[in-house]
Amino acid sequence: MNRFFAFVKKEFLHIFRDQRTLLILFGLPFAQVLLFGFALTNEIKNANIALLDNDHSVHSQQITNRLLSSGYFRLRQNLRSYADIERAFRQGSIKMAVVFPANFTNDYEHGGSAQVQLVSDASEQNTAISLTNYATVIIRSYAAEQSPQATPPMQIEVASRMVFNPELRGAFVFVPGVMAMVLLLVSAMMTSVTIAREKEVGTMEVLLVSPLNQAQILFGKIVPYLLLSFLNGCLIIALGVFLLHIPMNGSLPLLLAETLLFILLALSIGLLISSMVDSQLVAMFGSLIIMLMPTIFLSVFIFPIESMPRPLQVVSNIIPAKYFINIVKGIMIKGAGLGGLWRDTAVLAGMTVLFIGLTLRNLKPRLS
Amino acid sequence: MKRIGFLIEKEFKQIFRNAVLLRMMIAAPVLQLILLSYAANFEVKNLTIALVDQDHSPFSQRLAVKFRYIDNFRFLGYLPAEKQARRQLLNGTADLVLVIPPHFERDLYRDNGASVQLLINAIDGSKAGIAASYAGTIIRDFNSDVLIENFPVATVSGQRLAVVPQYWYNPKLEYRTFMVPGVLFELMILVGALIAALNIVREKEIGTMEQLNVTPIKKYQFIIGKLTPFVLIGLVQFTIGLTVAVFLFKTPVEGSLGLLYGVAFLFLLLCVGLGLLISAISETQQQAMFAAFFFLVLFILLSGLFSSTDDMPRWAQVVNTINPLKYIIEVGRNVMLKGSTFADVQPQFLALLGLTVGVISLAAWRYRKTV
Repeated sequence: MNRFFAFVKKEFLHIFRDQRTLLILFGLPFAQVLLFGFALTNEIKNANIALLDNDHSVHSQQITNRLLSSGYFRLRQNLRSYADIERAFRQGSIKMAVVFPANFTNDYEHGGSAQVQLVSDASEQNTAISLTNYATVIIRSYAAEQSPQATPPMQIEVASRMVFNPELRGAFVFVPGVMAMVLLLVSAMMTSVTIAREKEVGTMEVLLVSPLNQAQILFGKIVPYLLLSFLNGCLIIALGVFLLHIPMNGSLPLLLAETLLFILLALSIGLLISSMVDSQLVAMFGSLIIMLMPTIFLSVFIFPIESMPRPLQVVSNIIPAKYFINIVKGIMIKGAGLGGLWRDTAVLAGMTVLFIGLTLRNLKPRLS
Repeated sequence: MKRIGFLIEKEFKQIFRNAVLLRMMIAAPVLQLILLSYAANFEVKNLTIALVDQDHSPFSQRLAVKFRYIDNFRFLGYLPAEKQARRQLLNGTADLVLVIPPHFERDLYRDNGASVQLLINAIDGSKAGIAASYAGTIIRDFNSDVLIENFPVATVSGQRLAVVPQYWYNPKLEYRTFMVPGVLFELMILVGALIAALNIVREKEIGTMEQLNVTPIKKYQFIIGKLTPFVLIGLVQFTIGLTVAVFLFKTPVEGSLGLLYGVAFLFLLLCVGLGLLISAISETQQQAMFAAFFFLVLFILLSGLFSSTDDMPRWAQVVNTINPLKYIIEVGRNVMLKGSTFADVQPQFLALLGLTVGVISLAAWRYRKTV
């Protein structure tokens, strides 16, 4: 046991002597969570639009005013023709053009079917759909007010209630996602280089001839990083609650325990990578390139998994962040307990055991 | 010139000897481009819906049936009360719950209107908004069915104002079309900057930097020698990625291919330059990796691939003025999908050019031959 502590102490000394890395370790998650917590949003505000008004009437002006006073749109320019729309789209200066045809008022007031065209730049397709939807609602409500007929009989009304997130805040999605991503990558990257570095500079040999066995080496590598990362995790949770105002509806000890489990998993992934490769370069490349993008794309961080093609839904099951994001949302926002989250927890625990086992098998007492 | 040639030769030898790394550099991005482009989809499908019918009338049954056979929804079943519905929302089995209150049918006939309640899991706000609008459409449909049935004569005089949406450049609203160029450039910066960042630091760490320092090689020769191999590899990557995009994902290339390559070349120069800058200010590979990680994630998440850059707060937009990925994704989309010309993308091109010159001069300035 004494040997083990000596080894842990050596690891700590390594970490604390490299102050720059230490600074990055704590500064980076802090900065990222803050940045993305505030910057990422799906709310549309002040989108640049253009107007092609061939009608120049009271109606077209009033509709335009409605659109502009909604706060979603900002008038960038007045256009004269369709060719102008094309030009503006190519430069990327506007996202949508509102077009009133020449006989709009005539059609509108004399019972024909008047048309407002919403031409949007669907190369950025998400925005195009949202803008079109917002504008459609505004224009329809204008038309409804213009024709104050008695409300039609026998109508069913819908009262929608947005459960868990009544204000529809984007931070509820992005903060758990950023949390999972930062914890996973930082923890995995840290450990992925440790064994590889010992191999590269030759000290692995020294460790192997020491009386420490593989398990002791492995856990000696894990313990210091586990403590550091856990501290990091606590910091991130505090940021989320106090600065980004994510509610804390569930039990804090449970959340901390789950965070600890997730970090342990991330560290064991790093160690597994580390035990398989010979150089730091390959270890880092592996941990960053292979994990970063799939973590962003295939967890529920940004894209809904239900909408993906079937094979990708299957692939998403091996992304650890997916389970952790689920757990964080469950505990913090929904106030769920372990009862509802045991499945996610079991998957994380199973993965951890698997990776640690594989690493132990890979850590042979001999250098090839 | 000869010296640069030798340095480039050495770099290529090093790259080709590390088979694992080479394979990762080429295979990982292509594989990810394919996988992630399929994954990148904001579309909301397969929403699960549960029903609480407290009325049990013919009318409520009819409304329920409407929800059962709609593509976007997957019907979970009936629940006895709102309490169970809440539990389903809590554990995530249901995305929506439609609650039909008692006396629904009676109210509809007697009070000329009734209301139903829709509970939506709104943790993902944008998804919830879309779910609500789907449900709203179904109920509107139902309303007009009922209206026509009961008052066949007095059918209201149609909608007088039609709103006609037109989606240019991507009329079928395919997500892949607009995601593929973005993902491609994202992978390029990730691989290019990271490999370059680790390269010089590695020479420092294992001591071979010293050897290079005592050679008669000049600073600019050193920089060019280090830049060239990675830029070339990046161009190969770009070509493979573009081929995949065009043939597998049918992404159109409306604009000039030459322009696209020109800007991609500039972008690669910038990526590799960024890597060199990071490696010039780091002492160990670990530091270089974390620094690269920080900047790359910053660039990727703020690039406009996931959420529109225009909706970000002011300060984030200021940060974004130095984000090369933002400019290149704009150029990529404009040139590939809309057929923009050089004049159209000139602002982005100039920004990229400025950043490239800035980053490479910084890297050159930081690189010292003396220890």
